[in-house]
Amino acid sequence: MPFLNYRQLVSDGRLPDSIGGREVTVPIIRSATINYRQNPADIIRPDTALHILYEAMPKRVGLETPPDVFRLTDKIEFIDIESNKVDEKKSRIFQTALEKAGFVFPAQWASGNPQIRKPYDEGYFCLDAAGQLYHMKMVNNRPFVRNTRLGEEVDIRWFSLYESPNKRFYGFLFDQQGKSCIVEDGGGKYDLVRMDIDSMDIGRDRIVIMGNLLYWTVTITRPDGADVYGLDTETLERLDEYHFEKEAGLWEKVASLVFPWYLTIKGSDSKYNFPVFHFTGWTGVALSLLLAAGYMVIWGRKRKKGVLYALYILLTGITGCLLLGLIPDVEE
Amino acid sequence: MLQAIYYKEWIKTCRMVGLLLVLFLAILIYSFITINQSFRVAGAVSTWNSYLQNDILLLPHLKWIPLLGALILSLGQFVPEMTNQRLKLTLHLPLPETRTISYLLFYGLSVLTALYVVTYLVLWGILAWYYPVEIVTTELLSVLPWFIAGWAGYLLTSWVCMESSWKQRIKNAILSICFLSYFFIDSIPGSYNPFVPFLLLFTVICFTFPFFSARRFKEGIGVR
Repeated sequence: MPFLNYRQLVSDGRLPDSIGGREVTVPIIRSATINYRQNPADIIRPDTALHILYEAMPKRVGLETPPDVFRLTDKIEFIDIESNKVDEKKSRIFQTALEKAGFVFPAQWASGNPQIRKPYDEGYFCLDAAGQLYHMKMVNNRPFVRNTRLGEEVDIRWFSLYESPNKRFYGFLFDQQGKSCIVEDGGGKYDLVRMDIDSMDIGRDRIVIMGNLLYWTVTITRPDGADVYGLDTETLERLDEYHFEKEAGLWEKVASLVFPWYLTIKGSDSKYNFPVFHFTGWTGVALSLLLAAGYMVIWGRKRKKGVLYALYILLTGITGCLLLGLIPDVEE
Repeated sequence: MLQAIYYKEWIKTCRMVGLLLVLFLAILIYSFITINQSFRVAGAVSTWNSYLQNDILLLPHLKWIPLLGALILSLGQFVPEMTNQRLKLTLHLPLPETRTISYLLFYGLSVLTALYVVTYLVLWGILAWYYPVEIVTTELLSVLPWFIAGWAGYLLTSWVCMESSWKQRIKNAILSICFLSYFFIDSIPGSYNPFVPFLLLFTVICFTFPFFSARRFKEGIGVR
């Protein structure tokens, strides 16, 4: 709580000198604060495949918007925005730097944080065709490319760049087995530190990390509930955990009673529009069966296509029944 | 016979087609002015970055235009057919009823397709002048559902128009609005890409709907 309400404590003059044996000042609290969240929709989403690369060591105080963007596919190309043409010279310099570092084209993805309102820029982390993760940024208008060698330790699925205020780490790395790690700055090399939490699927689960000087609170929201872990800030070892079971909402309760299945177009775990069928349970199927039997007894024998309609009601339930009332029979 | 039917349809709809030409030309000019203005006022760097960081659509004003064009054409084509039950004469031509209705629908679809293709190509040209291929492709794919909605809207409006009973016509219209809503879900550029084949399939299914209305009309259901 003191880390969350430190501004109030400072204002009241009640900020302690130390907490848990650690010295506490406003800059220390600020630099140790982590606020990170990632939804599956942040990853499963359309991508224009054009990236903004800021100058990592700007001459002015803040970051400046560059006059170009780059594409990274089977080669790297910088496109000058004003002329909408490829900047051949800059492209060649970066292409050479990547090749020299051993980058294997085509690139699988490039993950960055192209927001101008941040304290500093760490460029992009790019996965090459061989599964190696490369760190690429622009320093004094020159390329900085380095193989993190993390691809030799884990089978990388995704990396999420996070420019932490204390520059302790570069971001969060998720492997194909669902393990989550941070990539620490090991003074010229990149060290992997595993977070002591259970496996997660970044294509389905949501992760929220709130960290302070002493502890990190990691919340993984899964379809069946949420797991909350308390980790030690230094070692990222688990100190405590808690599990919440997900309670069905009103819609889910009603849907499971009335509809055997329903269709959604916009999923919460993706930014794509795509039809997804949801089976709600056997109660809905039983109701459909009842409706189909009722239809057969009352109207089925009078209509030529009675059996066909009954089958249709069996499949579609109450929704199909309503639609049947709207669409007329040609032989009416 | 095909030529005669198409000539009849042309006489009936030539004013509507002229109106559509003006409408689509106006929207193309407006698109060009809007894009040019944003580059002139905010600058190229700011405009590109705004697109890349904020998930905005470059041509939001285009959203309802293909559907509006389809509605105008369909009403212009089928309202005169239903006035004083003139469709009866069309259905009495020495051709199978299915083929006659197909010719009528193909005429409308051909006019719309020609308009849409030209509009799409001009838009491609305008966007490609200002933006790189990635943004152009994303943007053109983002507006594609609105053009497919135009085809579906034309077929559904024909379905509603050819229906002889007003009660059923209202029901068909309600269903059509529900169906068409799937083409206009608020989303970021590129979201519709995996959904486009389903929308096309749905549009192909919509082609069968007007035949039900024509059949009901021919059998005198709801006809006074």
